[in-house]
Amino acid sequence: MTSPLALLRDVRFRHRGGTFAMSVARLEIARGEAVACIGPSGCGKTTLLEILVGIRRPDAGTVEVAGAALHALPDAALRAWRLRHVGLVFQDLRLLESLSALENILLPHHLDRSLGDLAAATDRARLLARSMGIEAMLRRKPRRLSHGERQRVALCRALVAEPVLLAADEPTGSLDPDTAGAAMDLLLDAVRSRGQALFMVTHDHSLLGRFDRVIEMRTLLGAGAAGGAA
Amino acid sequence: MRGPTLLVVRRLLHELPQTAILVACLAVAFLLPIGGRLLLDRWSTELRARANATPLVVGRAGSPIELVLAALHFQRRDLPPIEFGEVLALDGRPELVAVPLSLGFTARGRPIVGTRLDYFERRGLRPAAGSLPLRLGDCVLGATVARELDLAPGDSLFSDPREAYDLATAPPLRMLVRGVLAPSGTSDDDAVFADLRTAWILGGLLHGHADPVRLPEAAILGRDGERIVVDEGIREYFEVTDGNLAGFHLHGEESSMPVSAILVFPQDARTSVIEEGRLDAPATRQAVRPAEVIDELLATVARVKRLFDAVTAVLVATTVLLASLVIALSLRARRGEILVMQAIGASPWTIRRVLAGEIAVVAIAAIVAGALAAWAISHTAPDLLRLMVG
Repeated sequence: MTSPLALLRDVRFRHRGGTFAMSVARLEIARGEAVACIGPSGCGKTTLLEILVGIRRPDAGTVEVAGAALHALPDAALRAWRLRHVGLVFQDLRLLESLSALENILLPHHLDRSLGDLAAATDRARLLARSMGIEAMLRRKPRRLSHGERQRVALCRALVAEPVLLAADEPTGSLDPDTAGAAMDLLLDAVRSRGQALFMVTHDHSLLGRFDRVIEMRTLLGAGAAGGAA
Repeated sequence: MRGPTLLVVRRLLHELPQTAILVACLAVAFLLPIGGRLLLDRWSTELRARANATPLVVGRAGSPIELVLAALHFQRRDLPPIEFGEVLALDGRPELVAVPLSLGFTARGRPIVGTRLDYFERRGLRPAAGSLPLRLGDCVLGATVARELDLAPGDSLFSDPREAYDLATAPPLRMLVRGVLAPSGTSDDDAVFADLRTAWILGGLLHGHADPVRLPEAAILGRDGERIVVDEGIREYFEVTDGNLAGFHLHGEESSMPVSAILVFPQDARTSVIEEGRLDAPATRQAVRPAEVIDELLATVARVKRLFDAVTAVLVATTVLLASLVIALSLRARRGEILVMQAIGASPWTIRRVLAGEIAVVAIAAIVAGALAAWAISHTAPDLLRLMVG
């Protein structure tokens, strides 16, 4: 039996100064698995995603992803680990308007030179861009791209460092159903063709059929509260 | 280009107009105190150097500052004149050299200085082209005048009419440019020099016209003893030539001709003290030491500068505070950008490097721009100073 890519156990988290608290007894994500996380607003989906990728630390419990115990890593090591192992896609894409599409894709490499040779990363970025049909737009600034093109740039940025886990926070939240479906195809094609795992927070129930597994937050948290498994 | 450097450069270029305005504001803030001091230093140095090279200035009683600035820097002020007889009296004294100056006339806006050849010797001026004025009606140009008016030896230059609508004043004189002085870095570069008698032509005290005795009868309208009334067609000469030179004559005694000021160069300090007391004696005359007058002027300027410095300090502090506010607001507006970098995995050090890099580039650009402006001021300072003084 192969070990899971991600394993959260007995995770407890409370927002400092706030009333929100959550508890997850167990959450596993297998390598290459596409997991959707659904639930009402404010139930903790984004918080769970942030714990999963090391943006937030749990108050208790363990978070192991790709062999690293995130809960125990020092801050600097945690950031370095995230840069190498996680690709992030945000709902509002968050491209840097001052950079060209290519420079946006290469942002992780500009933020940490230890990620590797920039020339090789640039080649990789061009390949990714070609596979997503935006190779001709690499010199353009984000404001000169359509929403769909910007989304592809954001996806390329998440994939360029060849992460093992792609975490997406409602990437189709602002899209109409057709566009959302196309974006979802793109995302799933990208991760499946590379054997990467996908953890995606979404409100869009029409997309759930495309995932390998769907986690309902109320069930997950209910099981956690009861000490059960997700 | 890669890494944080790329992010810094791209960000600044992305908001180039805003960056340029911020740099310009800070550059002005840096320039104000530096440029002000530089300008004042140059001004003080030039004024002092010129004053120290001129032991005594004699002129009509009045404002010592006006007399000194006019005599040393050819300010366009009509100084009340003293008589040339004062110069003649000093000419007989072997222990000093008296250099008369006649001021108040201009040629294409540049001051005409009527003087004698002693002036060039005392000021260490030599022609870079041509020669010094040799004859009535000749002129020699300061280096800046020659460059700006594009004149060379052999060209001619008209004096400006003093009163455009007064037909009784002397007409403009066409002067022959005899030479161009080598640059001296002083007010001499901006002046047109002529013989003292040429200045008297400009004042209408010395003039030339055809000999009425030799005029055809048709041009003579009437006779009254030695006086002859001639036809209006007999006009004054407007230039001096070899042919009409002999026709120029003074109307009045030479000793009663006006001079604006006399530069006095005693042979030693003792003579200087004695002459200052002697020449300052009549109530209608003043003899001043330019160095003392300039020190007094600069002391007043220094008091004004202290006020200027205080105002400048407030302005600089205000500008820096405003720039800080702009930067703080910019960082707030870019919070999303910073968060995305943090989420991707950028270290706080990297993010600080990017933000500090932007601030550093703006500050360095402002300092460089301010320094360049200060450099430009330092190179144009003599001209600016002459504008201020003249």
